[in-house]
Amino acid sequence: MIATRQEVVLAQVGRLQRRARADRRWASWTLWIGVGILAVVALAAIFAPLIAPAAPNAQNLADAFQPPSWGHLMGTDNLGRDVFSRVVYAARVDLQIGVIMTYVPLVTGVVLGAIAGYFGGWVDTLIMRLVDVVIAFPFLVLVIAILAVVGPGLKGMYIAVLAVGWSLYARLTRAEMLVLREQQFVLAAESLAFSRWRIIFRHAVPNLLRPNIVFSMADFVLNILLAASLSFLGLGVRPPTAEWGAIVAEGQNFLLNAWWITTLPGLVIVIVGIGLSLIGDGLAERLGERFRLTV
Amino acid sequence: MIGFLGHRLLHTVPVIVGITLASFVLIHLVPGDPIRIMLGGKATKEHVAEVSHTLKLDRPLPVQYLTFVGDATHGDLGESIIQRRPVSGIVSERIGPSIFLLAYATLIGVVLALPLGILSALRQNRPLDHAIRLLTLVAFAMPSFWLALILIRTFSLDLGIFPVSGYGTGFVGHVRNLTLPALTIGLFLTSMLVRSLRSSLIDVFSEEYVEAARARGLSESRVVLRHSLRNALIATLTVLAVNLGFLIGGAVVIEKVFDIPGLGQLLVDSIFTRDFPVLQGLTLVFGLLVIAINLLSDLAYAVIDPRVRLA
Amino acid sequence: MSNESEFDQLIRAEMSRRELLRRLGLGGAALTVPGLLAACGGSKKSAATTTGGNAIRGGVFRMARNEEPLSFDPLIPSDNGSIWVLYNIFDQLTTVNADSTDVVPSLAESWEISPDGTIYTFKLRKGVHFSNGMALTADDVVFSLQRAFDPKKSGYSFLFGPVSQVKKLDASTVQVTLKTPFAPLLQNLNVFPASIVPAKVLQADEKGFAQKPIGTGPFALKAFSKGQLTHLVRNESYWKPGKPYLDEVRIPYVTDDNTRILKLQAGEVDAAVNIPYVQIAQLDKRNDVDVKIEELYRFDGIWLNNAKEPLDDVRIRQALNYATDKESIIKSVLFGHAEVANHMMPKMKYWREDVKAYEYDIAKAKELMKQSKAPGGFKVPLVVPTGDSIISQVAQIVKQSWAEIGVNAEISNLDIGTAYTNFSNSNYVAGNNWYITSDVVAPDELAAIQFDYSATAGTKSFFTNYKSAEATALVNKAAGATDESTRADAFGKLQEVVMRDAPMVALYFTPARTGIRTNVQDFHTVKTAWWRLENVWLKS
Repeated sequence: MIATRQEVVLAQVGRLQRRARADRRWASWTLWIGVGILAVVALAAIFAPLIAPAAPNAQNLADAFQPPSWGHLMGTDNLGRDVFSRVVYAARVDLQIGVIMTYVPLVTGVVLGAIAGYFGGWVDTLIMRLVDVVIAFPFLVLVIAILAVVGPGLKGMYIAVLAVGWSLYARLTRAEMLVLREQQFVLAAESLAFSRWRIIFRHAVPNLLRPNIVFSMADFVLNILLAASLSFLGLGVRPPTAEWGAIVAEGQNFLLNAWWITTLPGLVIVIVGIGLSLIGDGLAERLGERFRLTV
Repeated sequence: MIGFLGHRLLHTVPVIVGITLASFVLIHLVPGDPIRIMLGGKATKEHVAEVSHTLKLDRPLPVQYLTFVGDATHGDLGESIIQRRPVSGIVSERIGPSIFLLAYATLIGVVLALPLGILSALRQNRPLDHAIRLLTLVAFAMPSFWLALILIRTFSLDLGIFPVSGYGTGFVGHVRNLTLPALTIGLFLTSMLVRSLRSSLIDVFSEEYVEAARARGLSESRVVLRHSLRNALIATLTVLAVNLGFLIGGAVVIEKVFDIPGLGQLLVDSIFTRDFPVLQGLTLVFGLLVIAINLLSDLAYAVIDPRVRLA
Repeated sequence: MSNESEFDQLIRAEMSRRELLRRLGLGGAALTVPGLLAACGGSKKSAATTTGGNAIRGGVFRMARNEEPLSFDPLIPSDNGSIWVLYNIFDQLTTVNADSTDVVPSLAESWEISPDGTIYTFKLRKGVHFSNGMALTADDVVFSLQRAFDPKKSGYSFLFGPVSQVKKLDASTVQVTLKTPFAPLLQNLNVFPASIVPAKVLQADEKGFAQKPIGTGPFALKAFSKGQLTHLVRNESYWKPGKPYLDEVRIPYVTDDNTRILKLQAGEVDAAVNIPYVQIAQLDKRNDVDVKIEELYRFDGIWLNNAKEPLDDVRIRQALNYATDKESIIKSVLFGHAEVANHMMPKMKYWREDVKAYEYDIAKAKELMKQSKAPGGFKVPLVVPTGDSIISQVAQIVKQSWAEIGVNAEISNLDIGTAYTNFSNSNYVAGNNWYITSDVVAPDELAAIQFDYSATAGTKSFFTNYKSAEATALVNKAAGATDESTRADAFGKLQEVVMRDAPMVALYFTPARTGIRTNVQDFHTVKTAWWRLENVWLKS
């Protein structure tokens, strides 16, 4: 029987709908995978003493350079420390690094960017020029200078990143704000003579947060990688602190004969990075849809 | 166009002033007198003072700063304390490799990102998309020196295709030597660019005018190329410009592992030796490069989409 | 972190004792010796390096280094990057013998010393030419030496003590007159600032000479691209017949340890210096590469500031020595390629094997701590210069061991500039400096610097602030002695005294580790750490 035109269209629509549903299911799967990875890391950080078989800094020189085995899931390093235990305890340090170096600048950046975007004029120019200077300034110089002043270790890294990290969030927020302030709900609030600050913080910022949160996932990863690079250059956490980047950096001296010291923790960084990015992408899709619906 | 350029250049002046001032202040905040470091522990005060005077380092800071700025406008960036030769000479020796490396890395990044990003967006949420996204995520999250060593191990040692390190001689030599380092940086760029491109394209695809074009029966490729790509590229271009800006001063790790005689290593050297003039000069050069990149990307916006207002 | 990153080497070299001495202008007052004929005799083995006569002439030798030259004017640099290359471009009046214990003739064929030890007459070798073809004349020698002896021009003038005059007697004879006798003169004439340069060329363009040197040494500088490559070619006018064998020497600058080794393995270079300890075994296993382990005048230890409480208590310093497991460190970090140090300075002439090193004995250490002024333990900041992974590892191991006796070490990574500045102001507690090397074959200099608190412009026993009348007396006794047995006696006793007083934690003596491909023959590192490239040849 020749199908009627209606039936053909219905069939096509059905196929498209099924595909859309499957796609959406896929999308949420990846978000949950990301969340899962992050959850594992958080649990590792919280329950480190229960999960790790050994203390992270316990040396056992006789046992150095053991390849991965059941007793040492990731082998031992050059000082005989259990790499797996170090990686587990390092989760604490790296999560702390990620959170502080990402979300403090985010808050600062969003506030400054919102102000710049909303008020415009000289406030905008001032803030944006500051952003330009901060971005154009070689970051490494700043880090080393700060480390030389405050001394080695995490404190210096934090100060340096906080001084610089807000700039991208500010730029992002300002761009969004420029669009947002022409939107209906803002114009409505203005016509109702709500105070400008109230408009910025209660009405605009919640909407502005979306792209920032998405970006913060990538930023989180980059901050962890930054800690690794600084460790590579000898500017990272104080030894023998277990931090993923420091472990990978120290281990790369032995890459040619004890590959597991640097490779396995390196994989951990990659997986965490993937997890965070999946969350970021998942959020982008989810929030994106809702965003379009509300406005 | 001229007006636009002029306008932008005017805006860069305060930025440059800001950068040089910031670096000047910062460098002098850091403890460690380069003369003392150079001459050693108990060099007599007189000797230190004498050398300081010869190198004009004992004048008040504002005077030093203004002298620097004044000289810089004629291209004189001062003289290195450690090497006793003009900073501009030292910088110009090393700027070539850095720029070559970044340009090469950008080329790789863009050439890989365009097809991957477009494919990913077109086949959104299908297996191909997921595969591409997974690969880019992996490239994104890898510590650079780690990736670098793996590449060297595989391609230089085991396969012998590329040299292990160095800059090489002649254009062909440079291309050969820089392939692995450019690949290391380029893969990272690709990952950023693919994500940005994909996301922008998806946004654009769902715009009404694109759906309208599709409904009118335009082929997929025309839809993509004509209408969507242009707009999506703008956001992606921003991502590229921002990343390149960071890489200019930040490619130290790669330069170190691959022994490329670029600006990154010079930067770190000069910080450790407190070689102020070199540090000053480098910061200025970096700032200028970042501004140049931003300017180029703004111009590129205009080329891609003439409708973009160049205000 | 790589073993010794480039920027750190730059400064570390600047930081070396050599630089220190130079800048302090240490005089030779402690070292004057009436009537001592230094060095010419008394060497145990003065066999010239022979090559068995089947050396092949020709070839390009490529050696990767992790340091590079800053300047080629013998008077300017104080960094190893420059100095070791200089020794292959220039000659001096004397040079070291095969096992680096004494000096032998080089550009000076022979010499006579007046009975009162104040007049040295050098007979110059005939037929020597600079690499540009110019003949070596007595004028060149006089000019070069005057530069080196002039305190205004040369930071190393102190090495030459009380020189009053240099003059040319005839076309091949030069005379050096001293105000008072000075034993180490002949040995110190071998040190690089006393390199012989062509007077006319340098006078014409002094600054340019630093980038385009001309010497009488086995090689000439063909090209130098900073950050990349030092390129040497054979000096066709070299005075040693048949040498050097090599046509060219290319020295690429490769700071990253892994990269250097990979290049060696890939055959991109024929030799690589400073092989990380961890790679030695697997490199040696290869058929095409060998790792040469050669003794150096080098001492590694943990510097302690004896002026800072409670490190002023000798029992505590001894306890720290007992609490450090050197054998384990050598095994795990250095993979067996070092010798436990039984002295507080490098192994040089008069070193005694029989003096006991501190064995690892926690019980003894705890005992000493109990009797000390800090029986409950204390906190100590331990500074590790950035970029050196070996030192970082040692620090971490030591932190663990010292914790067992109640000493809590807090490790800080500091960039070398800062670490050194603090060190030289005695503004540190432990660490900052972790080794010392010698450029000279006579041990007097290091002994004076390290153990004689009152010596000259005050390095304060190389910033340990170690004050010992006994040690000072011994150093002076050795310096003032005319005969070998008194010197040996004094230095021997000195070794016992400093080991007992433990101004630092003695770790070990480490060697030069150079990876060379098996076709490279007769490569040799002298104990003052440079290489005799003139003897190297390549088997096909």
